[in-house]
Amino acid sequence: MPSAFPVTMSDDDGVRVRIDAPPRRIVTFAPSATEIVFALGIGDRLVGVSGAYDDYPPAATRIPEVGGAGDFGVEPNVEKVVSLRPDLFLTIEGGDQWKERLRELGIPVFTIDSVSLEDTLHDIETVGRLTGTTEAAERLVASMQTEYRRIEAEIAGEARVSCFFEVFYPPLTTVGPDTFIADVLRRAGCDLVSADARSDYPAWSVDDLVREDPEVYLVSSESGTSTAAVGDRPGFGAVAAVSRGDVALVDSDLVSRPGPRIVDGLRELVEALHPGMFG
Amino acid sequence: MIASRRYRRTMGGLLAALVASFLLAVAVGAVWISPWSTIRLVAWKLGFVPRPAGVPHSTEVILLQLRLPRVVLAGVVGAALAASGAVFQGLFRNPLADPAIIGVSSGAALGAIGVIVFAGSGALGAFGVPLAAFAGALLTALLVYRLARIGPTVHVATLLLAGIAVAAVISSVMSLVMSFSGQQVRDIYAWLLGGLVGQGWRSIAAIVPLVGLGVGAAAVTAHDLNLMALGEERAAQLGIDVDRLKRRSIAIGALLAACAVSVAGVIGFVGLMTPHLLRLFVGADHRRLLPAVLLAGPVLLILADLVARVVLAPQELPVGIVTALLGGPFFLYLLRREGRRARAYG
Amino acid sequence: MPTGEPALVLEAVTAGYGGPPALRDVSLDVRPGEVVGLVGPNGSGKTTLVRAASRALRPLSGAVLVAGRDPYRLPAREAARLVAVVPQDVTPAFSFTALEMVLMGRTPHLSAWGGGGPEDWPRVREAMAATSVQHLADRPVEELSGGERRRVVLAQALAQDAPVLLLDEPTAHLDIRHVLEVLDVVRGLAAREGTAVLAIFHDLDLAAANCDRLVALHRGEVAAAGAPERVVTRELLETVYGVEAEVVADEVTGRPAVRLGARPAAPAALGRRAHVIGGAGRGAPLLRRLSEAGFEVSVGVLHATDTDAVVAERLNLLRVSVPPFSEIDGESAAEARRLAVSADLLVVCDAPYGAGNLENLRIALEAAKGGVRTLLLEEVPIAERDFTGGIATGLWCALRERAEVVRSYDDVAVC
Repeated sequence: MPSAFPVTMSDDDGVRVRIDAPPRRIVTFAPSATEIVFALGIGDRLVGVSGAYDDYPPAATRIPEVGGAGDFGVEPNVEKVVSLRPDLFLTIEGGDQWKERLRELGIPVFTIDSVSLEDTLHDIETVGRLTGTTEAAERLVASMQTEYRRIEAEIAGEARVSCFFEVFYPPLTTVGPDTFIADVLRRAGCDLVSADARSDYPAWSVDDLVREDPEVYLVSSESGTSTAAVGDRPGFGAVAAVSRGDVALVDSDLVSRPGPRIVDGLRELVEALHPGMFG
Repeated sequence: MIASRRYRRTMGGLLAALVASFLLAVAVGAVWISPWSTIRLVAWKLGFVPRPAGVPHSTEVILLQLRLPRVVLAGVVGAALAASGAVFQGLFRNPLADPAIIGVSSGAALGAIGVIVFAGSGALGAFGVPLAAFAGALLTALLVYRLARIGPTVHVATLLLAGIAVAAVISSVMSLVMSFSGQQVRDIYAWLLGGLVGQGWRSIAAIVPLVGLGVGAAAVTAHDLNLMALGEERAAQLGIDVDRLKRRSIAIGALLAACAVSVAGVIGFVGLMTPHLLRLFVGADHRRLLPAVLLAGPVLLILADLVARVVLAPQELPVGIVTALLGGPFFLYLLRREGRRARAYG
Repeated sequence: MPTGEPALVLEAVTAGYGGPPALRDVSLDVRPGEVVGLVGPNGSGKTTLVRAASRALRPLSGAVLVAGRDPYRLPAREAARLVAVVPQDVTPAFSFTALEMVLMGRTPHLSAWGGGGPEDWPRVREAMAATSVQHLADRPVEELSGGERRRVVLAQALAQDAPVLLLDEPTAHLDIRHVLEVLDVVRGLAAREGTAVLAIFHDLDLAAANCDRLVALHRGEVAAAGAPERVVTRELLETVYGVEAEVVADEVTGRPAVRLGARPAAPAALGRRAHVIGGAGRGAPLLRRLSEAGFEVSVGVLHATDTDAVVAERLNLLRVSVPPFSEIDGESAAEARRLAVSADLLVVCDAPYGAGNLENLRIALEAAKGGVRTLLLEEVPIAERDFTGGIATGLWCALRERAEVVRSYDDVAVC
């Protein structure tokens, strides 16, 4: 195993992080990070994960949880983290204050922030370098890229599809153009109704949905509804996709986690958007 | 009751404003629906005329399933909030009383969330949430009244402090209740954030009888509420059973606030602004004030909701943000004025 | 003339607010058509009696009967048809017009749904005419002067159309014309409608001249009761009010009238003199304090029957007074001015100021400008006791710039 330690890298918060030796005690604070670590074959080095959402692979559910603190329950419990004596704390963007606190306590905090599918591949390689699993990371990224190119080729001849992606109701809430999921949706051949939204998770007018009349109506599984229930909502009957039954429930764990399974998520979206393609 | 010409003019103006704001709010949105199309579609739906030609199906759905119920609901909620505010202001002898400011709306919200968590949002059909909201609102109103009253009067400061304190406790209890909830947490968020969105004719049908009951009860209480303005002892000397009047007013104010909260969540300031502004035009007599706020409350909330829908269209703002932007400065102005009055009278 | 069964009966009533009873074992009755005056110094239980009689304060023992019925066993609405009350002041929380206020007096006669009857309008018009407030009908009450507002409240009580009328100092803060008007209305009501009237009076002469009978309370008990000449006596003035005074028969009415004699001022221990401008009893608590602190004390100008004048008399203080309800004449004003500008300390009390005593404020301002150390007592804001339409307020504000404002009697630093 080619080892380049100490490793010094800038993370997505712009912080330079130096790791002296291959980390043996890792805490991940995002389900996607947990999945990456497992996919690199070093799940046994995980000593802590964020919480109940770290549910894949199933082995992750047996690892101690460090989340649930702070005013909204979205911060790590700093004492718990320290007690686990991690030599790498892998997380996503946000939480500058507690990150600073952890750094002061001598814990190397590294932030990965995916805004696109390519970014995710890059992040996997980054985690590989940080944890001394560069080869495993390269193999994983290569296979993801192969699968991605195959999907790209498959839909090359397909027309783009106008679609709406629901994350919550009511109020009807969708995704803005700068979110990770919007990038994945674009790659799957979707023209988002909410492409002009000015925020990441805007409340959307049902009037406008009826007027735009998207060809496919996608519901994230986190919205907690069923495809049948969508049709029963006031006004939704006028959306052609809904009355035709072109409503697809997509697994939000697959499509919105910037991790190793994102190409599976992409395939799920492609199948939902181009139902005729696979015959 | 003195139906002066000025009063009739004011009421005529309010009625015209209500019709105009209603037609405007129904017309404006992702697609423009002209008042003429609206009238023809409604007439068709009521069976008076054949289906108007040339109106697309989507327009029909937008009008009948989305716009109309939403605007009607905004109207009913606006009326309930304004009437609740008028009753609470009369009871507390204080123009700063508003169901949201004195914590009654929070109490209603807690009741609603409680029933969603422990019995599910479909409990008792469409009535479970309104009734639980009523119970929460009633208890809060009683509590705040007890806390705010010092001797024979309810002072502005104690009223606001009691409202803030009770609302703070309620919000903690709400968080606690929500931490007990599993799957229902999504229902709770949907209820908390939903506002006027996603409410069809069914929720309107559920609250209209209750709002009607509250308004009817407020109407027969209006005269006696006038005498509360003279102080409890004077009211009693003039033949008012003060304790009964207080119990009744608290129940009416809480019922009306609860109806509003159960379908639209906590919307502040409508109950504060409407009675206060209308008193300038129709005077303090609750028998004239009440009909006036029942017209003006809907105008205010229908227009606030219209603003919430169009300002970032097709994105939507919660309507409570719009009423707060309007009402916040108004509230501060009143607070300053009340403060000056309090100093002037020692 | 009063006839028939009493309309209001209090039988051995003891009442209070938790501490020692403010009213002990008091019995009295008022027959239809009779005007009974309730007199006695501050704290003697007059207001407690009126509250007990008006269903506002349930007696601890004894019985209250109004038109033969116990009001505490009747619903509020029914009781209000039997007994009407005129409180000292009513300040509505919202802006009602005078007409709306008077209409509220019809409340006990409305149906359960708040509907009025054909009786309401004539009754309201009569009540407003009787109290001369018709021209104020559409004015918001908070814009009215204190005197106008009191007359509106009187009209409100008259509109109630009850056989028993209780008045808590019906003439306080009114100028002389309206005092006479109000008393005429009340006596006319008794004579024409047979209303039984029980009224608290601060002014003994006024009570004696206008009532058929008087009841004097002292420390919660009845000290004397009966015809005015049997109640307003030298003995009563001495035992109840603690003053020495002559009682003479009024030249016109033949009713008893109090004549306070002049006495030499007490020697002053400090050789310093304090002048007190009082009225309506607002100066009384200070007079003893200042005397005990070693000041030579002078007071004035006062109306002769004012509590302050009575107390000053009792304390043998130097004082300037004018007959009740008259304006301050030039001679008295000059005398008071001389006392004020030459004093070492001037205390201006928060008395009500009307045309009758406005001159006092001018005198005070002159003295303050002349460098006399001046204390302004301000327990009650000037806005509530300005009966001059703003002139008194103007003078008060000018005084404030030159004086030390004190909020209570305890804050009057006398050293």
